[in-house]
Amino acid sequence: MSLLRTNDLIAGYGDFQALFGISLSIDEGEAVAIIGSNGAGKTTLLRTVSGLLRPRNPTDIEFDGSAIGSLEPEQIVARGIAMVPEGRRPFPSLNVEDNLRMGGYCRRTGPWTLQRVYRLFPMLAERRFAQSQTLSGGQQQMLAIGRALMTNPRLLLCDELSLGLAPIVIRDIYAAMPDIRAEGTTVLIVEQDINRALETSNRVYCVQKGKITLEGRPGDLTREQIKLAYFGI
Amino acid sequence: MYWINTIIQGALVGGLYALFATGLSLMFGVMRIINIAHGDFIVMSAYLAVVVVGLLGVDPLVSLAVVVPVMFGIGYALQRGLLNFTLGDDILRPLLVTFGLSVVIQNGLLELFSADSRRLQLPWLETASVRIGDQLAIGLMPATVFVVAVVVIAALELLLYWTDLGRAFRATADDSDTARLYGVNNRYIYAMATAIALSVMSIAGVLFGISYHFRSDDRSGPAPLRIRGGDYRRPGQPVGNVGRRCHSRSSAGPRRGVRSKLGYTCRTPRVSIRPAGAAARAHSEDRRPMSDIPSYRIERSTGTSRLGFAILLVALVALLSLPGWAGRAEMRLLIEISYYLALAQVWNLLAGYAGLVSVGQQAYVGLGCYVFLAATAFLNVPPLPALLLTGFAVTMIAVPVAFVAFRLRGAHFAIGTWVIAEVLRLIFTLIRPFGQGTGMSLPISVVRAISENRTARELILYYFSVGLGVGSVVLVFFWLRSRQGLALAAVRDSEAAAGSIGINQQRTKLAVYLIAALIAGLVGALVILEKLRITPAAAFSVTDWSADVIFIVVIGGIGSIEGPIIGTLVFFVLRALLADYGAWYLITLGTIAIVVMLKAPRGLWGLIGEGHNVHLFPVQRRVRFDANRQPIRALGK
Repeated sequence: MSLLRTNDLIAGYGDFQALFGISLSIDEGEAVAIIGSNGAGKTTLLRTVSGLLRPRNPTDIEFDGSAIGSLEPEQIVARGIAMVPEGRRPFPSLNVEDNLRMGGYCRRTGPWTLQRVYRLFPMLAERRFAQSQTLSGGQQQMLAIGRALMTNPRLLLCDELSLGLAPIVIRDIYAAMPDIRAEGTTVLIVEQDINRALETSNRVYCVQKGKITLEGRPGDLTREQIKLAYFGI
Repeated sequence: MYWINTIIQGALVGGLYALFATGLSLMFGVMRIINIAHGDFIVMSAYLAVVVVGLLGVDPLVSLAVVVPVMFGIGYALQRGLLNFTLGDDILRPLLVTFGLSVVIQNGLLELFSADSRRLQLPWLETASVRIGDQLAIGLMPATVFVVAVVVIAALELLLYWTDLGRAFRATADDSDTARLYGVNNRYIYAMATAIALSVMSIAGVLFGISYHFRSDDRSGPAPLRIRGGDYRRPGQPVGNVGRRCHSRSSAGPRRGVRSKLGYTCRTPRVSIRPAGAAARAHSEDRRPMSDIPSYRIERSTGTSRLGFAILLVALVALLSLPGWAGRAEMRLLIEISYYLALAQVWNLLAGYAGLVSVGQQAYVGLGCYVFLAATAFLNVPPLPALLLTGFAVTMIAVPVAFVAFRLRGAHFAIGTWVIAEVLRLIFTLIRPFGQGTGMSLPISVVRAISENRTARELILYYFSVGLGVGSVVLVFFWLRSRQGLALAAVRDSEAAAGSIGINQQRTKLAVYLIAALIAGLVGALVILEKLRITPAAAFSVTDWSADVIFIVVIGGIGSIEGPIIGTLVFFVLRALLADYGAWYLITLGTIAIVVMLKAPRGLWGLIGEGHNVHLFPVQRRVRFDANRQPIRALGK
């Protein structure tokens, strides 16, 4: 049975519709990537799954067999979906360790503790009492991932981990992925960087204008197919 | 020795004030709520203690065991049941709702406990003191207050920095959407913040009730001066750190429509298409300058606006002829209506268009009073030149004030302007020639100088007031129709977008601020001419000159010319209907303010005009295509 399923998911902002019937499913233990250009609806999809946006129909989203479309974000995270938000968004008045502790606020237990996160990102341990705003972009991204892991999620949603970061930093961050998956966490990655997405995932969905235009395993897809699905030309 | 004593006494009193400030800044820091009812909650706690002491016969300090949990519960329920619905980008809604609460509580207490002053009796502690040497004596009561304040603030510090709840407070203050992603129920967090704030206030209230006499209409001193205490973020200020919010909430996700600073979705497109400069002129002369573009014209008046003008014309004739057919009482009423209309119109321009939510317009009304008084009574300037001088002087004073106040934004600006007004009020209570706190009368010679004849005096005053009221409407109307008005509407809808198309916002805002100061100053001169006697408390009254005006504008409909007019009428009709009910009138007013803010945040005019395209004042521009109704796309070619 799939861990996350969306059934013809429709969502938007007020009168503006952004998702036009997205159907996808993710199995426990998979790493799935969603690629697509700017404004394709990737972030909207993650915001809807995490509860920040309401889908048009509550049954459009199922997690572990039950509909979660009408739940508040704080209830969804308690069920085991954590999000690394776009733009990292650390809490500026909290230091690094307090930011991580905020991840533990929902009190889910599991493999991820402060110590385990510090082992994954030793840099965070070094700067544990630093104000989060003084970290570099890459360090903030590690903090955001660590904070999300502290909720001990079954499903980790990562929104544009590479946004605004140097290639070498992006490599460091993605290097943590095997470790995260080794703890049994299912990962859904939204990414504009196609190559990075293909490398990291078992399966890829391509989204364009709020619809899924392509689905498959990275090895099975050709460049031409992806180009067509990505740009629609 | 004397000065050591003074310092110690000052520090001890400061403890009480620190407690006052802590409660307020917790709410402001976590939720950006400016709690106007803050002082009323403090007085309410003191009365609660009076009741508990009366019923159980316990010591006032023991009554805290009941008062604090009760206020905690009230705070929690209040936030969940009412204040949570007012939160958003718009700071006006909580401002007005807490104003409503303030009025309701104050007058509810008046009904329940009358206006007699009370005091919580604590004989064994009040008079006791500890002697240090020959000349120093520290009262046990102030010392106890100080110790309690330190303990409470330290406890809050621990809560904020060492508990999950405290971290959640700070995280929510930073970025409530992201906090929710990690399991924080922000509705609960807000309720806890208010509950804790009210608990702290209740401790402060009981200590205040033991230390001083209090009355139901007591707001326990200048509220905003207390506010500032906790809001600066320096290390060691416990709750100040909560208030940091680097990125606005709106950046958390795509925007729903264009949002103005005030938080409501605006109808932008109407102003966004505008033929500019020479090209436009060419258009109106030659209807078909370029082959592709369908000819168009800009329409301004509508059917309803023509009807509106007819109604307004009738009203104007009625106003001007009123002295001929109505009595003295009606004239007095209309004088008051007029100056409230003038204040409402300019406040609407300030808050509804320029995004300057000022809670300090009483500063300029008060200054108007005193400048006029000084000019006529001390410098023997004749009334008419004194009036001009008042307008000029108040506007000049507003320039440096703007320089300071404009460094603040949003809620901070609101508090800042309030503080400035309070400081002015306090200054005028110290000036001896003006009679200090007891006030001063306008010398009879000045009144005589207007005219020897009483009827003539009343006529002059009447026409001056009506002129100011109608004049403010006309001024705002032509301003909004002008190029500057277009800039203002753009600033109202989106400051960032307005800035990026080259609107000089600072200049636009300054112009609005100075005009508002000028009108308020003239109203001040009018007030002293009509009332003949003024005290600093009345001249710089936040309730009369800011809260009532905010009520009028918001109830009527902010961001339109029609709103303040309707609001003024509603305000005075309510007052006429309910005048006999004393405190209940104000309780009703407060309740209406709360209900309208929750149910119709765009005010009464918003309810009428919304979606129906009804405008009594044609300040909009509409593009009408004459021939083939081609889409706008053609313009781009």
